Amino acid sequence: MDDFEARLKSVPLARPSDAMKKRIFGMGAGRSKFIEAFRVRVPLAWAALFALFAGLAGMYLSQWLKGPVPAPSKVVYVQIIKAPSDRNPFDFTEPAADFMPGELTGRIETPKEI
Amino acid sequence: MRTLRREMEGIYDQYGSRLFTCALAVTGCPGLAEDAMHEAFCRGFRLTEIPRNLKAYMFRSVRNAAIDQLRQRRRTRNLSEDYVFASSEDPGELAELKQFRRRVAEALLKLSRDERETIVQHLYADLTFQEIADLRERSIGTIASWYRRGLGKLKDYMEV
Repeated sequence: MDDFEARLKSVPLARPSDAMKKRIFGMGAGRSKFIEAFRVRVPLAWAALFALFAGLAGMYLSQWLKGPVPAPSKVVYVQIIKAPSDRNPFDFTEPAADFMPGELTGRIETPKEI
Repeated sequence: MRTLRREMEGIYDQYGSRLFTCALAVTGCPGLAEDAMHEAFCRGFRLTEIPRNLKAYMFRSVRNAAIDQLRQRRRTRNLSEDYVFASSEDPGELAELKQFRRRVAEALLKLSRDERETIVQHLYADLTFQEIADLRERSIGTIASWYRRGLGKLKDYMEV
């Protein structure tokens, strides 16, 4: 480099603005090394699998926290086929002295869905 | 694990000013040079893998983005009078230095585009002739020739 080149080189150059780095690298331009250490690329399949497991685990956890769920109530019709006595055991208009001694055979039919 | 973003941030920290000077050598306008740098880095973020020579890739990408900026804005001849130099806003700066800077900028603007860009890339962005040749896909002889010829013209303009 001769004197002329050295003199040309001494002229101060324009610099990019201070906001340039933030503009390029976004809000994370000045982020800490701690945060940077956790910025690891994860394959999409792994991320999808993790999301699936997290969803299932969440579902089971919420069920476990709610406890056992009672079965939904349903109206049923009971047809007595063979009663141990003549008296209808489902007649509660009078207090019964004995409550259904012997065997009671019955058939339960659920009403058909509309 | 090497991440592309971290590598590019390293390139910016190390060569940001030189990349900006290279963009400015093409656009002649600091605003357009910043836009070109932004565009080049955004293109870089979309890469699926880290190039073998990221530095060379970024210099090429910034130059291409600067050329694109010029094409889009149609401002090929609208170079700033300060060109690649810092604008003289410091009142304490020596009048002689101001005068010299103005004359260098004027002389540079009289050169052909290839000569001007080569001088800025070699002298101000500290790129070797080989790096400039790779960047512009020309032979090293052509680059050296543009540089020597441009420098000779600059000397002549400055002495007048």
